[in-house]
Amino acid sequence: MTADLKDYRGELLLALRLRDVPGPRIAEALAEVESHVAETGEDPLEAFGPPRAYADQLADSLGLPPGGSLRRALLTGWTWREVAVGLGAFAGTSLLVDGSVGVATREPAVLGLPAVLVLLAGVALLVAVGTYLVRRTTRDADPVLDPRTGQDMAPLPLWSKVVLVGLPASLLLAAVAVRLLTA
Amino acid sequence: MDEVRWPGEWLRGVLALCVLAVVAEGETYGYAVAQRLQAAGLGVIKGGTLYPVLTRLEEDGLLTSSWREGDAGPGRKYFAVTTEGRAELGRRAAQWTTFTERAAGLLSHEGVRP
Repeated sequence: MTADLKDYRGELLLALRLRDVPGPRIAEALAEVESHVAETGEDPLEAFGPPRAYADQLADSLGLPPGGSLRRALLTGWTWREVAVGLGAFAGTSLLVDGSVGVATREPAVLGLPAVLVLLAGVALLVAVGTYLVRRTTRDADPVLDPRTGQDMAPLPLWSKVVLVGLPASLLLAAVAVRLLTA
Repeated sequence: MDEVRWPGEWLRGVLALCVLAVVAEGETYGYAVAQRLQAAGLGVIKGGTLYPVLTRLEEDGLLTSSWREGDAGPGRKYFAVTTEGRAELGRRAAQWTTFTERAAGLLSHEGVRP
């Protein structure tokens, strides 16, 4: 797949998601673009027009309601659950960082609480938030599966999983290591 | 015939019907439909115009589609007309013929032609 096609597919995928086009329909559209440009040798932008405009055309042809802008969705589209998840993730991260620093420096953590307790509270909160998110996204999944192969056309990249789990884990390990080394 | 560019609103009005007619000639795929329309003198139909029409026709139950392995490359999506599609094509094609005959009658009067 050429870089142009890959970019086009990515942008089209996002634009179709924003118009709430069902996953299987998105997959069809992506595969159609791929197949058509392979057949004609055309540039996807030339053959299908800008991804956002093409997504609108497709969504309109499916009779879906008009979409708002991404900015509006970001400003107003929040449910209290999503806000709670955001606050939980922030609080969990703060407790984890504060507790880790406390463990490493042998100082008490926030409010003079024992650092280990704060650290464990942070880990527990992050695990809870993470578990909720994984469950929720699994339940509400509307995957974009390639109609030809059944493969996920928009997999979560490996690096994002590595960062999400690896960053807090390495902070924790670093704190413990510093504590042991300074014993 | 030279490469013609018909007014966009004319094409919008009749493109779905023409696409349905092409698929009714025999199972076919997107690019072949575009080539057939061009050969028929309707001009170049871009993928961005064609696939939403095919999608709509399928959504309305007038076409079905299936992916098939190509010799090489990412495969082709073949479209076939349904019984309902064929019936709809018959009705709409007859209507369209009447409509264009009436319009042609109006437009062929002396004084309209240059």
